[in-house]
Amino acid sequence: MAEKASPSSNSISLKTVDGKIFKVSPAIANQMLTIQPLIKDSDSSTIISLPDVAAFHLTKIIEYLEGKPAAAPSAVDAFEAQFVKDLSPEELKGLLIAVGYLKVNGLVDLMANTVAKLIENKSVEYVRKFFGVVNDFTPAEEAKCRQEHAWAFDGVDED
Amino acid sequence: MVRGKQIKSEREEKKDKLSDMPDCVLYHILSFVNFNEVVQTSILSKRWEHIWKSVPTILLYCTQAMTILDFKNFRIFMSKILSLRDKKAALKTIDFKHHGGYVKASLLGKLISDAISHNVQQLSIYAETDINQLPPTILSPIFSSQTITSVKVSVYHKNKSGGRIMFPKSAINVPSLTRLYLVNIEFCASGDEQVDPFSNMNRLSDLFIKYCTLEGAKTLHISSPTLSNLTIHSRDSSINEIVLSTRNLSSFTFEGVPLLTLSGNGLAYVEQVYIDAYTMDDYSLEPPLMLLKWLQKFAHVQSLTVTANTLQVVSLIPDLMDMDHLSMGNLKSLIVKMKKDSSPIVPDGVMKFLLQNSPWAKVSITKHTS
Repeated sequence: MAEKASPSSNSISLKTVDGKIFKVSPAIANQMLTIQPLIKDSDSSTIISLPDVAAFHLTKIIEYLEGKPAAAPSAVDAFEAQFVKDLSPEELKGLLIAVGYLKVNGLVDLMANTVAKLIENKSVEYVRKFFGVVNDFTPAEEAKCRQEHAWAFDGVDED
Repeated sequence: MVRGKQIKSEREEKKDKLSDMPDCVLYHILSFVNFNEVVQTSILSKRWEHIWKSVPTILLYCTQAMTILDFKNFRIFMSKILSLRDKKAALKTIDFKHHGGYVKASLLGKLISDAISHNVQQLSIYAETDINQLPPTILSPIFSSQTITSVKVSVYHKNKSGGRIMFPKSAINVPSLTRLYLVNIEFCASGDEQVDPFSNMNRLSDLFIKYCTLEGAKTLHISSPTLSNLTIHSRDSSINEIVLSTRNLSSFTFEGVPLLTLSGNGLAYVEQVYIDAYTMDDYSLEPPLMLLKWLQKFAHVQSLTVTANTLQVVSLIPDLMDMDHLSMGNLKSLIVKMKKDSSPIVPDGVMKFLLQNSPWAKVSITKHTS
């Protein structure tokens, strides 16, 4: 399938899975390590398709990559806290998959850490629901698995 | 000519995007979760039963209440997580932090020997313990590791007073080590040789030494052609002098009371300097004069950051108004960090003194946020 972008000053065209085309500067695109090798031999008519990234995710990624350098060194933490603050668990997961796939500098750690904080000290049921895990253990198998890992469950209250 | 580009997705496209994260993303998330909880994810489902065995980072953040700190439990826990690990998965980091109370010395020994025997790349330990109970060879496994790239040993004696951990005297062989962070370490002289503990570390680029001491010598040699960043925290003269043979040193940081002599060629190459100096009393001239000697060595410094405390020490230098002391001709930026509670008034004479031969330096005054 052929794609054509209107030629403009050396911006990079990125196409999200839901069909939106974003034009970003090479400085921004280069921080997405996965597409870095494609940028070098791109010309203005090249469109890079991103199969795991929706427009919402790319908008957030660009917001991060543009906003973080603009923040003062002492304000970076506040910027990052604000960046993840209003994201729902579903949005967090989707964005984490997108940044993990694009290998966005700095953002992978921020997103993974944010998700980690959400599942920490939570019940098995909560974590299953969070990740959309279907429990395919039979009750006997689950009990056996828990028994085998009993050394990691010391002092855990199961509610 | 028009072209389209497509990068292969690691996952098949029909799978539900939100509920089915690729393993590598799960590993990344779980790298931020305490490892006993990581193991507990094994009961989520059949797929998750084995995920934890490949998580590259083992976080062990403990508080006194955790039963894992019972030495028997800890030994079982460590041997289980290491023996059940996927042998193909690299063990990147073991990060042990303990807050509240102190841990048994034997537990730290077990942690180190287990981590090193499983070829860990980054080892970080923060704990309080009875340092006197630590065997003198406790650090030896670390410094013969072929895989270790980063070491942080931040172990304090009970109640944070006294106690030193011996640095291995010989057999240093760490070809991959680039970052070394040491607290409360004692470097010992062996025979007539000078104490030069880092000279065999051929890739060392970052060195942090805090409250370290010397036994059997007055002078610590830091010889490292690769060293780029050096940080020293020191409050006394338990190390009398440090001789720097570090021709690639670009950044120097000091925190504490300036009482140690810095000699050798190292400081002449430094481009970035951060100093947070203070004195215990305003009558001793030793710290201000020592600080002056350091400042005189920064021939190539481009960026100098000092705290308000440091300016206070500078103001104690006698004959501050005789302007022939410093030659920081390349200085581009002088940053003064004010503490939250310190007065925002910078003594004028002190700034004039610091900038006496620095015609291009820009001055900025910033508030300390932490």
